[in-house]
Amino acid sequence: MKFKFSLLLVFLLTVSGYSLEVTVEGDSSSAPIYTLDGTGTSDMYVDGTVHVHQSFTYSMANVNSGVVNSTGSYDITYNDPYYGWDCSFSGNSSYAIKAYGNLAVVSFNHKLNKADSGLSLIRGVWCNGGYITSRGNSYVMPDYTNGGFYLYGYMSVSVNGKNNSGRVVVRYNRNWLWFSQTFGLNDSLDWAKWLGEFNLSSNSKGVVTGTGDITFGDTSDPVDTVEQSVKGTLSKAGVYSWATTSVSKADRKVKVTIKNTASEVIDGKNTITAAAQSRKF
Amino acid sequence: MKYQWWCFGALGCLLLLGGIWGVGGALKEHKGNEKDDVRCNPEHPLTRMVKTPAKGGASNNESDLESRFQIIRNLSQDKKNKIHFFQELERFCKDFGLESLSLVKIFLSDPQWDVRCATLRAIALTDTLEARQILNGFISDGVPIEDAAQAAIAMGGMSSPEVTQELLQKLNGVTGKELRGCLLDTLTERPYEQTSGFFAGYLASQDVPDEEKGEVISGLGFHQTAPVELIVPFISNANEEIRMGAYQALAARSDTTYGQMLMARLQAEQDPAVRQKVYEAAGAQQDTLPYQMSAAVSQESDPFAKLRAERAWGMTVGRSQNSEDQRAFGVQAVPALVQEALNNPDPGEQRAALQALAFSRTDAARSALVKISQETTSPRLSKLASDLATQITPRSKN
Repeated sequence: MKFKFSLLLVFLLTVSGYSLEVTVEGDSSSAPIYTLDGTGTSDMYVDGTVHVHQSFTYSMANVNSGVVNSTGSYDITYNDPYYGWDCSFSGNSSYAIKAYGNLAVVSFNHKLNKADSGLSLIRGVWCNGGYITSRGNSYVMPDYTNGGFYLYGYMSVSVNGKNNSGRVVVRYNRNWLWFSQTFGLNDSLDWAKWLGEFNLSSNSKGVVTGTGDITFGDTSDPVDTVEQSVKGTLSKAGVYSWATTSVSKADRKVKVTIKNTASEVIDGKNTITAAAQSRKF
Repeated sequence: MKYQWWCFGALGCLLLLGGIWGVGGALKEHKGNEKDDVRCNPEHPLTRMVKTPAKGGASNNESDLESRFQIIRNLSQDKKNKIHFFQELERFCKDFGLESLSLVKIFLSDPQWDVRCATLRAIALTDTLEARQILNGFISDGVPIEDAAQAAIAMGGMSSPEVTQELLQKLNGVTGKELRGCLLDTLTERPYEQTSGFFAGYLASQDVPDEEKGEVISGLGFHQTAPVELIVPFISNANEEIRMGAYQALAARSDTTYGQMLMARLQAEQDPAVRQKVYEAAGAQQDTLPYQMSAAVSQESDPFAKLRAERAWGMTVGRSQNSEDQRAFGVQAVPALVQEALNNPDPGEQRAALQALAFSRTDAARSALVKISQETTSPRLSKLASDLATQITPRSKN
C-alpha cells in the first residue's frame, strides 16, 4: 500500500433546490483518523532482543477522545543464559492517539501482571509472581513492504519479579528502550477510515443549516457513529462555509469544517477532528 | 609431509569458515535482524564485544563512522524498507553520538516527512547539547507541523533537566494551536519536579483557555507524572472543561482511592455527558464498591451515562472477591448489557457494553460475551466479544 499524503477526497454533491448532499471520506492515504479497534495479535521486539507476543483486543467506545482500552495476554521470551525470559502476563493497557499533521503518535501505559503463580523465567530469574509497567510513545508507520502498518518507538519499563514467599527477586528499570511492533491476523483492525454524510439546506439570506453523521471504521461494520448538526453560510459567490457540532455533548470534540461550491469541495480548506486527531483535507 | 599438508588444509578450512562467518555476520547486520543483534541490548554479555562509544561521542575510528554511514545512505535509497533505514539511523546516532550529527543532518532536508522525523528522533538519541540545539531550531511556527511536533516530542524524551526549560521557552514563543498542544503534552511527560512550578502557575492563570487547562490536567493523569493530589481539587472546579479533564485524569489512575469523593460528585453534575466522565473515574478507583455503582446505575436516567455506570460497576466487580457482588452483577447488569451489545444502534455503545462485561470478569459475563459473539450481526463485534470471553479466567482457577 502506498501511503500518499496528498489528499484523496471522495466527494459527492447533488443539488436539489436549496438542499445539498455532501459526502466526504478519508482513509489511510488521506486525512486518516486512527481508531484502534479490533482484535488480533502482534509481535514486538523490545531493545531488539526480547520478544513479546501479544494477543489483544482494542476497543474504542467513544471517538470523542483518543483513548483506547486494551486487554490481552503477553508472552515474553528471550533465549539468553543471563537475562532470559519465558513468562506469560495478562494486562490492561490504555492508549492515547494524537496526530500532528501526518505524524501519528500513540502514547501508552501498560500494566501487566504475571498470568499464573507457577514458576516462570523473568529476566534470568525464576519467579512465581511479578508485574511489568511500561509507558512510552510510538509512531504509526506504514509498512511499505506488506501494505499494513507497524508501531515503533521508545518505552520506559519497570519489571518486578517475586519468589514464592513474595520477596522481590528481580527489580529492573530502564528508559529509552527501542521497540518495534508489527501486527498480524488483525483484519478487524481498521485504523483510518471515516465517512461523513451531510444534508445541507440554505435560505434566501444565505444561512446554511443541516444534519449528518460521521461513521468511523468500515461503513458496513463501523467502530462508532457520531450524529452531527450543521451551521454555516452560503456566499453570493456560491461558496458554502460550514461547520458541524456533535448532537451529543459526550462527542463534542468530533467535528468537521468544510468549504464547498455546488460542484466540489474546495481542496485544502477543510478539517476533520476526532479521536484527538485533526486532519486537513 | 602428509601431516604438514593436513595442517595447511585444516588452517585453510578454518580461514574459509571464518571468512564465511564474518561475511554472513555482516550481511545479517545489514539485514537488521533485530532478534539476533546484540548491540540492541547494552546489558547483553556479547555487547561488550561491540565497540560502543560513550554518550556524546567519544573517539571512534573514523573509517567505522564513515563506513556505517555509507551503509545508512545505501539503506535510505530503499524506499520499500524504511523501517530498517530508520532503525539503523537511530543506532548510528546512538553508537556514535556527537560525531554522527554532522553526517545525519543531510536527512533533515529530505522531501519526505517520515525521513525527516526519523532523523529528528535519531538526533535526540545522542542526548547531547548539540542535538538539543538542532531540535530547538525545528520547534517553531512556520516549520511543517510534523517536523516541529516530532522535534518537540523527541526533545521531551531527552534526559537533561534543561530540556524542560527549553520547551517552556518554546511554549512562550509559538502561537500555532497544534504546536502549542504538542508542547504542552510533551511537558506533561517531563519529570514533575521540573514542571510543577510551571503547571501550578499555568493552571491558576486567568489567561489560559479552560479547554486547554482541561487537556493538560487530563495529560498529567494519563502520563502519570504529576501527583494525584494536584489533580483531585479540579474535580470541583467551577468550569466544566476543567472538571472533565480532572475526571479523565483520574480515570487513568487506577492505583488511587478517590472513589468516595467522585461518587459524591454525581449529585453535583447535572449534565449526563459530564456524569459519564465521573463514572469512568469512579470505576477506576480502588475504593469504589460494587454496591455503590449498583445504586448509581439504578438512579441514572440517561442511557449513555447509565451504560458508563454499568461499565464502572463491572470494573468494581472485577476487583471484588465477593461472590455476592458477582452474583448481583450477573442478575442485574449482564442481561441489560447483552441487550445493549446486540440492539443498540450505536457501535460505540455496543463496545462500551462489551467492555463492561469484560471488566467484571464473572462467569455470567463470559457466557454473555459468548452469546453476543454468536448472535450479533456485526462480524467485528462478534470477534471482539469472542476474544474478550476467552480472556476471562474463571474465578475458581485464580
